[in-house]
Amino acid sequence: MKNTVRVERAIKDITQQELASAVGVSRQTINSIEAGGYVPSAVLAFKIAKYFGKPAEAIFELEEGD
Amino acid sequence: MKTRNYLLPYAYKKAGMWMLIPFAAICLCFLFDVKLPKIEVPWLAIGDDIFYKGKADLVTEAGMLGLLVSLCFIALSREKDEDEMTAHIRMQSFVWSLWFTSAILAFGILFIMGLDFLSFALVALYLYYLVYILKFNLTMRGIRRAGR
Repeated sequence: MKNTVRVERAIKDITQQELASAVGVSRQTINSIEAGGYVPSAVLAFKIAKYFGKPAEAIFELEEGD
Repeated sequence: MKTRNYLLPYAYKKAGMWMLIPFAAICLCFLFDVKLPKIEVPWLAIGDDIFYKGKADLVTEAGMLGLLVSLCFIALSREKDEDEMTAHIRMQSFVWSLWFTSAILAFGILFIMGLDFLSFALVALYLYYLVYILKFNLTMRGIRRAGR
């Protein structure tokens, strides 16, 4: 699953740690999500989307094979 | 939605690590036939003719039980930064360890015979915990390093 978390974070000018604290996970988890190494649960995906004020599908997108 | 994860607080992991040192040392002494002082006490257990009434060596019992408890504390405690990714890695490590341990056990059953099998069986009791702890902590270490 592709995501634009890094881009959204850059637009909002916040660090990984700030986003991690806001959604209640570790900074490593945000880093892994941005790098595509970890696909977040639906709950976490909605929390991240809510934080950026966008619908989840605007940030997370299914890839072929998902 | 809150889900239970049945894990102990992080402090137990530290306690388990400290407990592991003496108990692992005692168990290694059994494994390599190093003589330890014996403290024999009357004991009731399950054994010959359903009930075993005899003597048990407290050093042996405490050593093996202590090793089990300390490995449980290390394996089943939360990380400082426990979150859903940690839970995911934990689950993957459980499955990986089960496959790996099963392969080692199959090898031991087929190719280790005689008295050596008893030593193997003693190690096999704790093998799953050891493999899981190594796999989980190495994976977490790799992720923490990548995130620096």
